[in-house]
Amino acid sequence: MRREQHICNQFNGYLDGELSADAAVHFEQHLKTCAACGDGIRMWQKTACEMKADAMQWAQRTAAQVCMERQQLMASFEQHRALPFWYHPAWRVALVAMAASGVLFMAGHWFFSSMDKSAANVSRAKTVNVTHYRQDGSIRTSTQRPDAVLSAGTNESLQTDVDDDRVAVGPGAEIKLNDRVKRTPRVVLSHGWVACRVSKRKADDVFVTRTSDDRFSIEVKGTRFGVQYPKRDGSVAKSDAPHLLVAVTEGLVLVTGNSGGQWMVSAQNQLVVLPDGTAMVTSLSRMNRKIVTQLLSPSPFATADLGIKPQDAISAGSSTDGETAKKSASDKTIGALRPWLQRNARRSDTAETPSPKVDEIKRWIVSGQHVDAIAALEQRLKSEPQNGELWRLLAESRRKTGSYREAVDAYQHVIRLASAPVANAARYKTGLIYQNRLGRPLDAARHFSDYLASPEPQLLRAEALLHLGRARISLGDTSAARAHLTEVIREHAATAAAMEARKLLQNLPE
Amino acid sequence: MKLETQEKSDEALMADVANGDSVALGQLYVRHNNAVRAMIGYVIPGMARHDVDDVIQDVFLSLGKAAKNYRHQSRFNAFLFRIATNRARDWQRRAGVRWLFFCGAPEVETAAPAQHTQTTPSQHTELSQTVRQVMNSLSWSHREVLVLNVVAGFTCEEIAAILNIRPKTVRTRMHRARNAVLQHRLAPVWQAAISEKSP
Repeated sequence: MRREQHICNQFNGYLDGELSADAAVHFEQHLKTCAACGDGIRMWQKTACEMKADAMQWAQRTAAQVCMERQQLMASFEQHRALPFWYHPAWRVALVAMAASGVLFMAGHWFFSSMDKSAANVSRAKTVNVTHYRQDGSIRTSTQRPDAVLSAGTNESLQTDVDDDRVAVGPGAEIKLNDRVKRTPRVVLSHGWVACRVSKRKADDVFVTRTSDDRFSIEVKGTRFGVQYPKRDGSVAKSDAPHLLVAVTEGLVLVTGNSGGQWMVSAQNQLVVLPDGTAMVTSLSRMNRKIVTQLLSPSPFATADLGIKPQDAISAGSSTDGETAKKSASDKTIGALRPWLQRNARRSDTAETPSPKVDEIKRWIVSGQHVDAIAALEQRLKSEPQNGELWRLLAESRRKTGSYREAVDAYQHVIRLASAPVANAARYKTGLIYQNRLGRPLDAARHFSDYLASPEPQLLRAEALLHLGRARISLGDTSAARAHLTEVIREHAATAAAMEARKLLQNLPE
Repeated sequence: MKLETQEKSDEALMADVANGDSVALGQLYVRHNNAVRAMIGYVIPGMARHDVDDVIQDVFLSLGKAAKNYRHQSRFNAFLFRIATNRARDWQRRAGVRWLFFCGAPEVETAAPAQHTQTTPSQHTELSQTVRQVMNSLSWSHREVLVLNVVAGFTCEEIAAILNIRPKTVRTRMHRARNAVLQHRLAPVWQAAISEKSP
């Protein structure tokens, strides 16, 4: 029994072919007698046969199905290939070309048609606050709204004599001048009588405005303001540097002056431009509720540029009184806070008031009230034009307020009318203004030479020689400059002017 | 030229494949793709038809890349089925990952009834489905060994070389797989089939 069981255990070895020849013969003899092993062998052979046949048939069938699917796929490709003729690549290219040409045609039509239809609109300026400083010290505040000018078409001259115009360029217009900060299509013309010309939309196109006195024309290229002014020799000087621009942004006022300086004035502040060109910013101190005034120096404005009346002071921005504060709040929303130059400001009644005395004017000058002093002096000089002392006071006040050209004019009167020592001092100061403020070394050298040639006692001879030498250097006359500087060193060796002259001599080219 | 290629042995074709002959690789595909397909179809139950095709394409691409490593020391079939089993395992692993991420049930391809010569059609349908069900119920290692032995016709030593395991392990798995098929699952079916046939 145990032997039979041992032979039955050789079932798997027999199937795997691992039995020896004798053992295999013995196991086959055992199969004839053992029904279980015989059935097992037959069952396994059937199972293996079924499994192999099924696997191979499944594989063949699957391969055939894959092949058939591939053929169907290829047939579908062929079907897609037989598309209508407009699916042909050539037709596609032709359709795209036709569409592109149509778009180009429409764009060109729009472009050329918009050249004639677009317009620049001058909108009505918002209400601004004008403060009149009277000579009696009182302040009168009024509100005035300028007239509006209607729109003008492309290539038409757009003229207005209203200050503070805003030229709004619509989306169909040909020019687009952007705000510096917000980049919105907006142009703010804030100066005098303007003549606007709308030209084609090109990068180098010029947007021209003319000031009220026709002395300056402001060119606008993009967002830059350049100045163009006539020179003495009749030629026209051009500068791309910003000349006078008061552009308003949201809550800020940006002021660009002659010298290129810029000031940012917040909406809560008040920008005041005085008749002599002095500009200042007043702001309400939050700490002690006092008005703090900050003088803008050098002044961004000149009286001649502004063309304003002596008795007027122009202010813009918010004020501290309630009514103006409301207006400013409405202005703030459109960014309209800016200096507003009132050309047609009402004349004050100060013409009938008596002129103050000279001593009082001098007290004003000492206390720093140059604006009042200048107004009073100009009024008195109408009746006393030959008074050299008044001209001297006027020149000093103008010089201290930064109105250098007007100061030079006044000094010329001083040189002509005043006594010799005063006139000589006026020559020296005129030379200083020409040298340091106006950048005209030739005129400066002429005045310093007159000062040095005067028989009057020359208290500032060393300084005059030094400045004359500098003027000669600026003019390129190094030999004359060397002679003047050497004279300073020789005659005034222990002075600061001599030390400065030595430095200049060291740096002077041979 | 084609006739000459067909007459070449698998080893000679492998040498051509190693030299970059794609025609030789196509010839190998024609010769062996059905065997590989049958093996994969049984080893991985419920595998979709296009997945089987993908695996076979992958197997023969790998065969082309590995042709330079073929050293003619073993049968070509063993080399090919080693690659096939590895690719089948890779696919099974990726399928598990796909199921993990997408929770998608794999596309099940049920075997259509095949014709058989020794049994009636109804019997054959029942037997083939039963055989497949029994094979599917086996574990992966047992099914793999059994398919390589029965369908591909490899010996225990060759299966051990293909699967990189010891021959004794192969024998053990074969023994257990046979016992599971015959004694526990297929016995009633075969008994019924034999009893129907005996009268």
